[in-house]
Amino acid sequence: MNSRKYWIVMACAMLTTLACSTSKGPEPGAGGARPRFVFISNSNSPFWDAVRVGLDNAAKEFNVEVELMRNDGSTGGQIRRLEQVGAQREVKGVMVSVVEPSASGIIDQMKSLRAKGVHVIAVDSDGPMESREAYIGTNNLEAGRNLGKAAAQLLPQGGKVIAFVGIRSAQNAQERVNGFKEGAGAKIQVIDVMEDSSDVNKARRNVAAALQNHRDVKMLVGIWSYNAPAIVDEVKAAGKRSKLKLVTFDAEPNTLLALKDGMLDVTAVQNPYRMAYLGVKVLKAMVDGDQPGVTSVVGENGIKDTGVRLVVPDDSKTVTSEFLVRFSDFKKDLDAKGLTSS
Amino acid sequence: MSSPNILGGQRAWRSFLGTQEFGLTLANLIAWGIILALDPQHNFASLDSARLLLREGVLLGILAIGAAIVIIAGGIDLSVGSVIAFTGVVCALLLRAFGGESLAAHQALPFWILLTSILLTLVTGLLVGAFHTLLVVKLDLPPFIATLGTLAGLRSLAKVLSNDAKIPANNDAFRALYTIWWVPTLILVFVLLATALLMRRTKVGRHLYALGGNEEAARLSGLSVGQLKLIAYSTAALLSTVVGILYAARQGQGDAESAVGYELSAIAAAVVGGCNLRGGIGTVGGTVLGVTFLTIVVNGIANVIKVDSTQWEGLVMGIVLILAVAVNRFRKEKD
Repeated sequence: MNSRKYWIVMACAMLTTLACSTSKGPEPGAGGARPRFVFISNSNSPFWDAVRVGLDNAAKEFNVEVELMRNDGSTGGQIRRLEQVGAQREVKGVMVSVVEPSASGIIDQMKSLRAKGVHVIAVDSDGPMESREAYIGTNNLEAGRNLGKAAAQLLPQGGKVIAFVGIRSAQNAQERVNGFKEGAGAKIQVIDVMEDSSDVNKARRNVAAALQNHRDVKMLVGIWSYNAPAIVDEVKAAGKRSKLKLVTFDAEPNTLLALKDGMLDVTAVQNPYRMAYLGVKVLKAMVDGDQPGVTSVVGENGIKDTGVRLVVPDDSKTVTSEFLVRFSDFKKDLDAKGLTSS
Repeated sequence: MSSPNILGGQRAWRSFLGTQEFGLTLANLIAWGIILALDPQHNFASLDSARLLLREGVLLGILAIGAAIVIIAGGIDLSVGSVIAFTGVVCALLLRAFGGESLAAHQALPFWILLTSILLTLVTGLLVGAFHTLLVVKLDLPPFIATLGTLAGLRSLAKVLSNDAKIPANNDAFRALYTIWWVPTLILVFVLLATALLMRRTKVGRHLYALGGNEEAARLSGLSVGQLKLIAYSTAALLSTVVGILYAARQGQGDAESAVGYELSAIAAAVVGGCNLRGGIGTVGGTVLGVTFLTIVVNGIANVIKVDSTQWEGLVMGIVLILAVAVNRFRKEKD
């Protein structure tokens, strides 16, 4: 085989791969006229499955195309995806869950998209105001406060607490941790916030290390969604459930199982489905020049808080809150939307 | 009757048509054309897309040239991604150390601070290359193991130095190293010319091929194997450091978690470009064409597959890589 034949074979293989894979995309002829939006996540976890359902349902309802690009948790990965999107002329709107608001590379790309006329909104994790037109997501500070109040009820005598998170400097992580501290009060001391760089295996190692090195710790706090299953598994393996209070954010499938079995005391659940749905709705209104439609969702200040619920096991009696939901009721709500996580 | 000059020219042209470089150039054009045709919006025809390909290709290109030189010399460097993260953090720390409050306040930094920080970072990269050579030559460790050690170790050291935090390098002049599109392009052109000259026109280059082809024979021929390995590993580490600096400029921060898995992309590009992992075979030009091919294919996936494109990147890259290695092997056996 000479080199020309070699490259022809390679080109054919690539063509076949691309041709096969396009079968998963939109139907021929259906994509041309519809606006195309892209959602760039900050990391990859089951949390984004609920976002996916919200995007798909909204895409059908508002007659748009939406792609979910799952980032690998890195700043560089998000910059690359933003650059890629910037080179796709058909993309009219972008939703970004910002990995790090302090990373100027990300913010520059968001500004660059806006300068090209692409509508950019932050969803789930906010960026600086100049980088986006609106923010839709949880008021993470408030969510942290509510979880902190629940923590104070679970540990009325106070004690040492360790928190676990993917990236400490992420806006939502900072706000959740700070809110938790505020809500929990002075008796509860957060002695460490352990970072795992969105590496689930490291998240587990962090929990194991914390259990070994801080035998007097009274509570573990999972800040990002995958931290909850990591905490539950390691605590179960160490046989320390009875000595520890476990509070987390979000509801991955394994977190729901843990709640059902009483392996978690409380989890603060956002509404990723609603974030994604409203994100598409707002972008569609922006593309259509429908300012009242935009304002109806994000108000004059361009911010929409999608709220938080505190989910507890069915037999929980310690935690009281206006946002409290029992596991069975929460599960029914998820099933009704076809979701397996939130 | 044809003149000797014309006949010579025809022979040279026919000879070029049979080279790997010609095949790669053709493959690049075919891949670009296929993606352009399959994309309903024809994004590959836009200036934005050209800039994207250039930016993506430049970083990978500089890396892959370093990887190719080590592979040609019969070694392998698995530490590339960690060197990028480590040197990016070192550069950001140096900028912070020299720039102090000016950097924090996002003010302009004196030129000497930028130059000193960059030069010291490059020296750090050279030391990493020298360390690799020490492990491979003096301790007689297999290159795979030596660089696997630094793959893990340097990233960890970057975390220690940065205390697991992102180190801001948010200075406009520094960031211009990446944000002004022609600056990294110029760096790649310089690296390409310098390394192509080294490998094709110098005694050192020929000796590196000889070393990769048969290390024992090279040693018996009186070549200084240790010095040649020092050149190969130091060049690779230096070029990874250049990318580390550009990467810090791209992100506006030194990040110990950045560039995970880049070593595989660099090696893949070198292999697609014709380098043989057993050493002694490959060219700098071919490697750069391998880089452009991978860059076109990987970035083109998002243009063709409009939904969930990221899921397909690894599969397409894997197919291209396996085909490249398989066909190279087939060609070698036939030759």
